[in-house]
Amino acid sequence: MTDLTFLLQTILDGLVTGALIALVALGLTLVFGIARFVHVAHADLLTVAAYMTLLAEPHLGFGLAAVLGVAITVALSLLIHRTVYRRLVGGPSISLVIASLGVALALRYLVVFLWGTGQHAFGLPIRRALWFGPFRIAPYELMIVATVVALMVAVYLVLRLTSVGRDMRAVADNPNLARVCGISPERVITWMWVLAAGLAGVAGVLVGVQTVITPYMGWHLLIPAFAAAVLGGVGHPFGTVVGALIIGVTQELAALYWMPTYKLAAAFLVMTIMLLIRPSGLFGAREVAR
Amino acid sequence: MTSYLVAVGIIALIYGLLALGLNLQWGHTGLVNFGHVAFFAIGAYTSALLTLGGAPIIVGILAALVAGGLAAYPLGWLTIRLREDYLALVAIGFGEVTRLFLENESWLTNGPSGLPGIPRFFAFWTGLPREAAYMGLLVVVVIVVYALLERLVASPFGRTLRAIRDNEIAVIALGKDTVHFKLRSFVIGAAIAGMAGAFYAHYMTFISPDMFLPMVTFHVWIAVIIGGSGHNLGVLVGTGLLMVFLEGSRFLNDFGLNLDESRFAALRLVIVGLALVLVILKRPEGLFGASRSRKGREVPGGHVASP
Repeated sequence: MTDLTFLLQTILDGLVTGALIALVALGLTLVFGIARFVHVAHADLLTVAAYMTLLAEPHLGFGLAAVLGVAITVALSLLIHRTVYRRLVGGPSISLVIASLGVALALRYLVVFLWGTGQHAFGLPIRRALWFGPFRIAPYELMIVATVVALMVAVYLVLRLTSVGRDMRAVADNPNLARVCGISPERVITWMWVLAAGLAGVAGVLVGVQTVITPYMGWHLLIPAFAAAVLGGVGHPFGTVVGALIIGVTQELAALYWMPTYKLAAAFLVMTIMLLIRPSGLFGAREVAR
Repeated sequence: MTSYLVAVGIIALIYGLLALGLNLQWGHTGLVNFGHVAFFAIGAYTSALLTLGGAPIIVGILAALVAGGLAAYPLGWLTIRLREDYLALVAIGFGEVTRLFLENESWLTNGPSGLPGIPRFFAFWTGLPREAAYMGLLVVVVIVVYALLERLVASPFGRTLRAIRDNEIAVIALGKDTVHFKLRSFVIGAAIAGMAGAFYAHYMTFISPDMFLPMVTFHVWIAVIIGGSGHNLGVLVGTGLLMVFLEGSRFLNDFGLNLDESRFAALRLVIVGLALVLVILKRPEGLFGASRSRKGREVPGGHVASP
């Protein structure tokens, strides 16, 4: 393998990683744009989805178990919204951030308590990698990319074409104006959680398919996902997806040329540089800087 | 039994320092530092490396204080200008990257194997007298830090910090450079954490990256939130309650639950997480904090527009 194909292969792997980060980052950015807080527990929803799927898989088969896992995750996010986050609306937004840290800890360590810290995997058959000329891609990675692209299109259509999507954009743009226009914030926020937690749930299943299932699988994606959102412009869905692909590629390149263990540091570095030169991100125009 | 109590007391006093530092940042200024453990680790490694290289312990402690503050400066400068919740995730990231650095830069930190043989205080004594003397020293340090913080908080500087916490827009309208005030609060809090790290290193005599996991940050947070954000004495009592919980649950586990170490630690963190949520929901001012005016009431379903 020549150096160039090696580099291109790494970029290809990075795009797959980026696709997974995009699912988490998109949810994070939706919550930030509409409910207006950084949801620290978002990545742990991903872990819950993976373990729920793992639990159901022996009884239902992988496909149905994955659907159930994502559904449970969505239901859980709505339950957390009703019991915790909704009660804090109207107070300082920072209370929501701290409460979401509490939720994150409770979810993550409940998983550790129930399943231990060991690695698990879905019982999927091992498939031989496909070769496209000099480039290699695993069939499951193709499935991941296809799913992510389909979901991105779906989210775009929901935000652009449906009435609830229009309401979401209205609340994100100007909550007071939206309220005056008779848009129910509760309905918008409920649908926001369905979308955001659904994306995190699918990400959990896909990460489980691609690598292994551990209690920290979500936690490890939180910083890259936030970095992606910062890069693209927090609250800006399209920018967030582009940011995620950049972060994914950066992480894989860092693993190759720097040190595999410094993937997270690479994401952090990119985020830091972006905050330094353009805190509103590549595409964001909204005021984040004071 | 006495030596057990002294050991718990020493750890409690070190956590008390961490909690006082975080309380200046969060309780008095409203800065969400979710990466407190990073400054603790930086202080511990700074003092350990210097004293292993032959420097006197007191130099190590002072260097740790400076290192904690210096590490906080760029991080604060970067994030404090932005929306307040940006600091939360950037600080989490900083904590993780710091630990990765300690694990991977073996030339400096000896990697995952850690640094053994860190000099002790009162090395001319042994056993219980030495531990008791160290505890006495830490009591003095905590009292001094507490007294200095109380003075700081009562000063015009401290009043400005609280004003920023309660209504930043009003303070900006008064012509104060709030970023500068918040940055100083952040740096001082981190310096205290750095010093706590040095005292920790010289007590343990061995440090490694896995002693600086994110759970340290979460434990300090629950101590501050339960004790009453912005209330220094309450926060010290909160630290005491945290130690009773940590040690009491360990006792329970040894004589009943018999969970293995990782499950038991997980169960404790589930409780810490739920406690954080409950306190924020039911008693945001903590057990001892005076109920204070809620930070500038925000538009329902929205946020205060940043000026």
